[in-house]
Amino acid sequence: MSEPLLDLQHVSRTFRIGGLILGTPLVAVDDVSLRVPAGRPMILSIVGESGSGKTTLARMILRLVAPTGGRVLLRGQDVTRLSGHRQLLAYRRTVQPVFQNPFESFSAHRTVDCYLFETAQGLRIARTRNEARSVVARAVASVGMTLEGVAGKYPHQFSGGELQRISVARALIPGPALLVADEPVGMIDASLRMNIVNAFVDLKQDVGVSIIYITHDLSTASYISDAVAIMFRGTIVEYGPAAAVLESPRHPYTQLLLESVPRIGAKWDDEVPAAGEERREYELSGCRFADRCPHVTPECRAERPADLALPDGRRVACIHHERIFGPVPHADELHRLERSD
Amino acid sequence: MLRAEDVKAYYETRRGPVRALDGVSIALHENEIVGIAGESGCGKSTLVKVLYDNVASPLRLVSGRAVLTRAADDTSVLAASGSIQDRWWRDISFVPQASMSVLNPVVRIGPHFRDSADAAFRQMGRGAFWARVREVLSGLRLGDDVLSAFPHQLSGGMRQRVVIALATFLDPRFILADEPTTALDVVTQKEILTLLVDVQRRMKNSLVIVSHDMAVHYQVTGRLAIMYAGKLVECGPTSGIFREPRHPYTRLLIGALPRIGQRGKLSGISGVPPSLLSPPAGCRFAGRCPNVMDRCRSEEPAVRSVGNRHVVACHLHEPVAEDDS
Ligand SMILES: Nc1ncnc2c1ncn2[C@@H]1O[C@H](COP(=O)(O)OP(=O)(O)OP(=O)(O)O)[C@@H](O)[C@H]1O
Ligand SMILES: Nc1ncnc2c1ncn2[C@@H]1O[C@H](COP(=O)(O)OP(=O)(O)OP(=O)(O)O)[C@@H](O)[C@H]1O
Ligand SMILES: [Mg+2]
Ligand SMILES: [Mg+2]
Repeated sequence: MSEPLLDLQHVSRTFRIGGLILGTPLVAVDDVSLRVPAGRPMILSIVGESGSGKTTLARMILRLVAPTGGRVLLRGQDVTRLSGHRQLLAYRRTVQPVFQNPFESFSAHRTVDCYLFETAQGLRIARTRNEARSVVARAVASVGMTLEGVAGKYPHQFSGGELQRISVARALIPGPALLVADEPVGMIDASLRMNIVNAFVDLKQDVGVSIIYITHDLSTASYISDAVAIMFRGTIVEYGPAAAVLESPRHPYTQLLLESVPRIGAKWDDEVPAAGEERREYELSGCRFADRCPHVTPECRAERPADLALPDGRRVACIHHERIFGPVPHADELHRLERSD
Repeated sequence: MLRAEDVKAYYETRRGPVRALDGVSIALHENEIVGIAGESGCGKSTLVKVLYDNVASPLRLVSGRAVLTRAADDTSVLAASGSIQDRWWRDISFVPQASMSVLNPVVRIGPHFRDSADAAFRQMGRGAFWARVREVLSGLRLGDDVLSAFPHQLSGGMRQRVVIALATFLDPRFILADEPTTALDVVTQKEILTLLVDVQRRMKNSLVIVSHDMAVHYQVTGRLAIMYAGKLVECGPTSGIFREPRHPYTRLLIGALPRIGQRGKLSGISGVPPSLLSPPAGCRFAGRCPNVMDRCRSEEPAVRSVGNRHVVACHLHEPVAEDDS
């Protein structure tokens, strides 16, 4: 029972781009370790740069892409080594995806309840139509909708937000322990966005589901997460309790990210640093943020910075974090910490 | 000036017309940045399609029109529904929603420029054409080497800059950008938006940004139009709208998302927008409005001026004279 629900151990994925033989390797995910404990549901957000490997990481957890290094363990079992129908079925009952575009998750020509029933029966959650009915009804109710309100309708008869809630409901049918939601609110406006993230919080608290929430929206990530991982060019540069990471960052990239969030009431006036060329930054041997970091020193370029574990439960991959952000606070001092610049 | 005049544009479906735009008027002037905001599915992209004269089945222009007026020769061009006229697209360029997928993955970047502007290529000649492309790329901080790259070799931010280069290199007077940064991280978003604003300042043309992110509008737009369920509900100077939003929907939209570190529960706007197949009588926001009155459910509010170039369609606001600025 002490086995974590999900344990990513030094997971990497290399793609070859521009042809298998002549192409150059691109390390989309590079030595990522993350853990979701069992028995203590949590929401873990993964935020970071476009193209930093978030989707690739999610796809490895979902068994849609195989890691080229490291291991993805679900309750202690390597997900790439599942064999036989029974193990696969058990896996799919434990981990469920929610994709970005709900209109792509549903077929346009079939009613959505038809799809929900199919999930229930396909995953052998229910044997009879009646059993399936109560399972589906319960899942739909847990996202604040009713089976009667959904039945007989086609995807285009719902708004994007409603349909996204239905795809969350679909994912809940097998009673999963883990939802992997890759940009579930990217296309959705503010008011419906709050509906969905509130549904996530309720699921965690009432149903005990853990959620990996991948997003570019730092405000909802801050609102719902227990822990946050910040990804940059394939690596996690900072990880820790959501309030610590998002309210007093200790990595210069996290700081840049937070300063770039558009805020109502405070206009941008500063110069925007130019992004480096993606390929070049992937190929840097030291810290990949070195070219853009205002605090860079030659040591930063010499070797990949190690993950430093801090007393407040955070890990940060910056050798200069104390020089830049001041001494490390103790966990109980955190709420009094002032942002240092 | 580019104007939509009382446009009704419906999608024909088997279950009847979806009234995506139901009597919308808006005017875009030279040298300004206008934002279009509103919920998913309220008709933002449809409005852009009409302004760009990209109306094709199942979308139908039921009534109203889009007009482009040139100050120089004082002629008007009418959008001829169904075809993008040569003249029209040279004056107006369009960055479509999900535009990063506009780039053909098996074609290098260079030919995209050539293919998107065949007429201009013939008119300008090879040398002048590529000189212009390079100039625009360097204004967007892209080197010539991107011309020989395939789209997948560029980062998301670079691809988006290429799309902006494609939309701006012929010096259009109007640039319509539909959700130009929605799929990007906030650092890249800030970079792209800053570049777009820069381009607009240099060219002194007019830029339309569609986004459901109110903070984006706060940062970059000078004037803001807010749509709800196929209607324009409020339009005015961005600063005025954020200082004193007049429509209850606008007010809720501004406050809907939490700030980072904000504690306590936020519930967004309860309820869902009405079906555009059979929109309700009266105000379309009535079903979710905290300030709803009896007449809101039966009588449709007219778009009225509340002064200072600011208009709103809400029964809470009585008309005032326009001259009180
Ligand atoms: N199948 C693939 N073949 C080659 N390269 C790939 C493949 N899938 C992803 N990549 C590359 O791997 C890197 C990481 O991509 P990924 O989609 O995981 O990023 P992301 O963090 O999800 O980005 P976004 O925020 O834009 O969704 C990118 O450079 C991408 O181009
Ligand atoms: N091809 C179509 N057929 C039928 N209905 C459509 C079609 N395209 C759009 N609609 C409907 O028209 C309405 C307006 O769509 P539009 O794409 O303009 O919305 P939007 O405001 O741009 O939304 P988003 O923020 O999600 O991009 C929506 O209700 C949508 O469901
Ligand atoms: Mg992704
Ligand atoms: Mg749209």
